[in-house]
Amino acid sequence: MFKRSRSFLKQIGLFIAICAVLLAGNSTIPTLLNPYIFMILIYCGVNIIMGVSLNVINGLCGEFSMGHAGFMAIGAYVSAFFSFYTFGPFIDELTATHPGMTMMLTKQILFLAAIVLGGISAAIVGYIVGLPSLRLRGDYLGIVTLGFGEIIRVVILNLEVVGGARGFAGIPAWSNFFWVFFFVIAAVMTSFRMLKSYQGRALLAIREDEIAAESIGINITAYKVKAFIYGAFFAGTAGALLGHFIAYLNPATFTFIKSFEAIIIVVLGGMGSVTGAIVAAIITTILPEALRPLQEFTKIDFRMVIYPLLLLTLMLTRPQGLFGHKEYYDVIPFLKRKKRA
Amino acid sequence: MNTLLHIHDLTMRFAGLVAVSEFNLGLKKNELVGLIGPNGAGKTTVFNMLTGVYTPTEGQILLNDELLNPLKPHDITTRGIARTFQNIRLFKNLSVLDNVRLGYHIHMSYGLFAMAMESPHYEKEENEARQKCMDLLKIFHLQQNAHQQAKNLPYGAQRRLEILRALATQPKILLLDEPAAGLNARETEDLMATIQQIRKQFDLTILLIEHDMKLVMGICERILVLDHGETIAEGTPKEIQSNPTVIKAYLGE
Repeated sequence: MFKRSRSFLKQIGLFIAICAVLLAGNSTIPTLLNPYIFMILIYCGVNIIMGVSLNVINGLCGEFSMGHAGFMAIGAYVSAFFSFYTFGPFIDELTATHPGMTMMLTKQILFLAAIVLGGISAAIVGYIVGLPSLRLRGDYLGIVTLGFGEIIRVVILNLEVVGGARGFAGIPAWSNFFWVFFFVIAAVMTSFRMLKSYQGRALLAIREDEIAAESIGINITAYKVKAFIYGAFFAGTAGALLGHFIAYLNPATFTFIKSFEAIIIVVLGGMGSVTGAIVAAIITTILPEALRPLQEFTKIDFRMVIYPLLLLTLMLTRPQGLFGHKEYYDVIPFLKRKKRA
Repeated sequence: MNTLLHIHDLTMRFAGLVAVSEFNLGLKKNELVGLIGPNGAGKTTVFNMLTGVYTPTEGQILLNDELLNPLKPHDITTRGIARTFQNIRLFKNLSVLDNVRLGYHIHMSYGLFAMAMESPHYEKEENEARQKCMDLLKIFHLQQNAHQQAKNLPYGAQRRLEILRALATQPKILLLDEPAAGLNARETEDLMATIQQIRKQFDLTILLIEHDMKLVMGICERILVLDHGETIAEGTPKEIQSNPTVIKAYLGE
């Protein structure tokens, strides 16, 4: 009993520590950085969630999903719908009557609710899409998920209630450092812990050899669906955070190009490596921005020449991606003890 | 008496081709039965039907009076039948220990929440699994390779690892598909001893397919001979060796 409560306390302590650090960051970082750099930081966070969540589907489970933008779009639009039509007006009312702490806290709680609602609806769609398409393998699944992502986008394009093709403006800009990195840490930590559990190993087994995985009692369909639900949930939260950051959503954001960005992150980092996905997400976010000054210097936009060239060189020299199948604890021996091998 | 697995008139047709026809077998507890026959005789098809990879066209498979025909492969494994493959199917990029731990997969039960929180339940089960799997690795002297990638093991060790992975599911019946394929004489002898040992230690019933006559004749108590999907002979190793039909199937007229 003592052990049980101690372990529980450890987790609670960890949670509180993370929240405290994030809160401290939340109050200092936006004032320290200029808005442009801060924006890149937030985009890094969103892309990390996107990459890490797709990594579970594509990298760990080996299912080639090309519809990640679709899940993001659902999360973004559902959460924006709630905060625009329900939560936002409520907060406005509250600001008029009870300004101060009560309003601040309610706003944060409602924002969390909006994100989670977005994530859950994406997860539900992930489940629905997952079930029939998991009978397919490899490139066939890729095409089905690609088509599904486009269907979502076209449906949103024709929904007047969320602005249709004009885009959805006036979403409360509630995203902040705290919530973005709260979900980054949630996605990253669950991914790492998954790797150390029998469920994560089952996903890897499915990637390695489906027939052998079945022969040792792994329910392949159930695990593939689980991977899709997990991936879709976090993709949904990434979309929700993004929508509430720029306070505007446009269906054009969620074309298949967005899905490919996510795939690039996973492949660049190394299929199945959580560390790789994080690093690759940061690189792919920062690199195009870092090349911006070059554009001013040459007067021509070379960015989209140099960026793909860099990706190409990297894939030629390291086809397995930056980290391959490795994680940070395989690369830095000092941290090895952390791995419960 | 005490028959664990009943197979009645098992038949598998692929379109017009009859791969296995009216295969009958009763496996008693702790028996070691060999299944031999020329290439293409349908031996592996029998294994695939027993493990649910194929659904038999006709016939019944009964394990402790439970019908296995409609079950999926993973369900059959949880009922207590484990197998190895003719061409090794390890999880090549995973560690040796992970391969065995995956075999222990069906005995793990903690949920997603326990995983995310790394709860005591999680720790207890993971530690237990790790311990059990390390003990298993010791049987085949693979414990010092536990953290190597499975693909880096020598061929013979990969064969043994695959058997270990099947053993980790804690089966009642173990199906071995050509366990000695590609092994040299010395390794085959070791393998024979190990099969006997695990059978005793885990109280296993073993059905094995093998081309290596020394192994089959040396350890099997009973042998079935398949040719073109038909069972052409059944009996003790002695009887099989002198059976004219078997000799004809192997050597021709």
